[in-house]
Amino acid sequence: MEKSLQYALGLRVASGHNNRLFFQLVKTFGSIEEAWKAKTVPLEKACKVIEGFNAKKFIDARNNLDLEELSAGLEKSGIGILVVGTPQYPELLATIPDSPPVLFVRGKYLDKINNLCVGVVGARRATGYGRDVAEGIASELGKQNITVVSGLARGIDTASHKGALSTPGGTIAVLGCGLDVCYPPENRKLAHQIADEGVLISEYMPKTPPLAYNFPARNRIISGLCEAIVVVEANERSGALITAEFALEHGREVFAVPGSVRNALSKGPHKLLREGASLVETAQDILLELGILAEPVKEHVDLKSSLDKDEQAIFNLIEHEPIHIEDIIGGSGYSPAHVSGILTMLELKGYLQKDEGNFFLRA
Amino acid sequence: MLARTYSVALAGLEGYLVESQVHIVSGLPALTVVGLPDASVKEARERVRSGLINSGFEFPKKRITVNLAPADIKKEGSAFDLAIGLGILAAAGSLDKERLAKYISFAELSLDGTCRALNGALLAAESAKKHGFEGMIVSTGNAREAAIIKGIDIIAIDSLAEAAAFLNSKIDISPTLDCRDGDEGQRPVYEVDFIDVKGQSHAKRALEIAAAGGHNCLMVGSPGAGKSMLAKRLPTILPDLSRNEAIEVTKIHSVAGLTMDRASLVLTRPFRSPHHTISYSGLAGGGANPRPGEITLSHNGVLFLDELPEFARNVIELLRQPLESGEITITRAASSAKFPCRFMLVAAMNPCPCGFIKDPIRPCICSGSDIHRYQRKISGPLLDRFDIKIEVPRLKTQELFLKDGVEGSGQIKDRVCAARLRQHERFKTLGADLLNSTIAARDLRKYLFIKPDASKFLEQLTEKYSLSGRAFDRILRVSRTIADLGSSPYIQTSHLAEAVQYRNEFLLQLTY
Repeated sequence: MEKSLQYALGLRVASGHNNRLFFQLVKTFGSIEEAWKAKTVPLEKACKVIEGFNAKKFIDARNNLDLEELSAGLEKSGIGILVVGTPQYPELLATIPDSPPVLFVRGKYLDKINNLCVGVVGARRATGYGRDVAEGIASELGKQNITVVSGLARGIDTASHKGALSTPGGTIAVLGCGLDVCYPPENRKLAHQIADEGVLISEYMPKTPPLAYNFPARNRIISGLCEAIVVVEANERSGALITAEFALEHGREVFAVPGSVRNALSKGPHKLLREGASLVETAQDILLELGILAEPVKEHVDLKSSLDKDEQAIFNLIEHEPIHIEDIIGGSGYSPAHVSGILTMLELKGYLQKDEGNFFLRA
Repeated sequence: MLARTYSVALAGLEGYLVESQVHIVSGLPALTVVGLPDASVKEARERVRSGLINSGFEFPKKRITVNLAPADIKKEGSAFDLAIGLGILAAAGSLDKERLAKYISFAELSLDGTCRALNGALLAAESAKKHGFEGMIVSTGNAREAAIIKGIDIIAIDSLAEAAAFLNSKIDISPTLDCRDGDEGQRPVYEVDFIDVKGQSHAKRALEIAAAGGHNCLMVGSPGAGKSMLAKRLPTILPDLSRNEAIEVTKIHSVAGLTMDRASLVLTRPFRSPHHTISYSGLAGGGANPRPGEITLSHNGVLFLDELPEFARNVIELLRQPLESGEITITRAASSAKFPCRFMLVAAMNPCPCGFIKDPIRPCICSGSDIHRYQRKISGPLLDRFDIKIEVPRLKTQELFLKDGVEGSGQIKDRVCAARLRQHERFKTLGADLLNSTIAARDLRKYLFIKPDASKFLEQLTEKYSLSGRAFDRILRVSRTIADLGSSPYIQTSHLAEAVQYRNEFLLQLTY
């Protein structure tokens, strides 16, 4: 690791991961290198200028730190760092009021960071509808070479990442914990895929656990990286809405996907819409608003095979809201055996999809 | 003077012969029992002494030694009381020794000389017959049960005095007859019926298929959906127990002490529903002298595990071996016993800790990690055991006021029996009682009878759903049962299509 990066790393650790302090030290001493190498006397003098600065603590921490070892360890784990003020640091992120001075990154395609980024975020306990829509939007954005940013959480975040994988735009995940900590545990494989095709970013030192208060802070980075934020499903008070708040503060576009009025998770997006966010039905809405000339997207016309009488009767009972098989049986008057068979055929032909359990909805 | 009487002791589900040798010699009055008696057998001394005296006999004031042969097997319980009592009388010259040798004595003695019933009378009678005894003397409480075994006289007595009088030919006691003899067509009587269940036609169909092919079934649904209610009614649509099966079940229940108040043969399919706090040995069987556990008590019946994730992990995992082999061997330091345990496994669980994640009305209050942790309790290999997995919804309010279900258990059972008959016919060269769910995979392929277009459809399914080997196997088995229920010798596309709806492989992955 280059010396300049090492100094930044050292300064970060020694200042106790206090961003404000980091910047103030740099301002006082002129540069990161000089702040890191500052002698005892000037440091003590700085205490008078910088509020809450404890020079002794800083010096002790500095003495206890073996920079070479630390940076070698990071390199071995495939973790690099980006430092504010360098060309590699994401431009947009540098413009926000409390941008993180040091970012830990891991991934094969670091250049995606400087791509056009759009964040797709939402509830953890998302419905099948929400996940589906998020995945679809992410996929469409990715095809237009837009990088999709999200937080690797369960639910909408996971769907967004999945949709953007294997597209030209790819995906970036911003974590609320150290890059070597796998949270949530079920996303271990997804995290590896993102490392292979995109980037994982974190403000936190390796081994930092996913403490609850890390996540709001991490959301400002998601917002900071992006031109726009899309909220798919969210509770009235939720992390996704916090990200939208940041977006407004940062002067970014906010989009929201409406949902069923019966679904509590529609309250978040609907609140945003009331407050002036742009309504999204498809990725096209986002592209148009951002002024991106989209490649004409061919309408995916499935030449579906026609349905026979029974299949048609069953299909007519199925909406975009999931309906339970019992209701289909009751509504159609057919036997349970017959209905089950037809539902399988409809699914194979692409007319409907199955939600977990025995719920069915239009594909 | 020496006398011999015979009794039966139980080890697992087998009875073995115990010969009580009684020897009386002059000496300081004493009564010693040898042959590795445990505490309760040693206590027999007191019971026998008081019982004899209170029956009006004189207790020999001599040195009495009783040996329970074989002398190297530990003896337990109170089953030898009557034998020892009669043995002492015989050794003292008050009993017809020859006649005594023809009978097994199997009862506990009370201090007043009356006889009490014991567990395992059916096994004892079977053992007695096997060893060629003419008859078995038992307490009246055990008589009807023992009488199930034909070919041996069951003499019911209430007291030691009565037994002695019989053996001395002073009174005549005619053998107890199996009361069912005249009525072979007696059918089991269940208190519940499928007609009690409103709606849930999908679940009922799934259970019909499960019953027909013996497939293990998992039901996932919110509390109050009716999962337990449905499970309890499963025995009502299973075919009646055959005589042999009924005897097996009765023997097991006898050893477990569950036949005391029953007249005779158990005719209803066992339905065991242990609470989720059950221990390993409670489920598997155990104890110092191995006793049947819940899995054995559900042999030839249904084992229902409600709230599956609440069971201890090690307890659930013990099920895997018995589900494969249909028997369990309990080994202890001194003995081991093999118990049969071929049962249908039915389980129920909520989709998340509070239970309401898929409920249309009540919201779920669980966090993502709560749900993840809860669902992880059911391991993949255990989930694999369930051929049929369904989701059971709560009825909507208006449905609660509908009239009862349309079909009763009787009609469903007829279809199930017809399907079972077909399986019996199909697999009869391979062995007894094989079903679509239990037949080995290799043999299943041979007996599939699937037409080419259905085969092609199966390929489509395999690709669309990325079926694993086990999932593929399960769909075939369930389809074969659906075909049997539809009286079709061949598996057709429609059967495969329906079978897919009982897969629900991702039923439990609600958060990702």
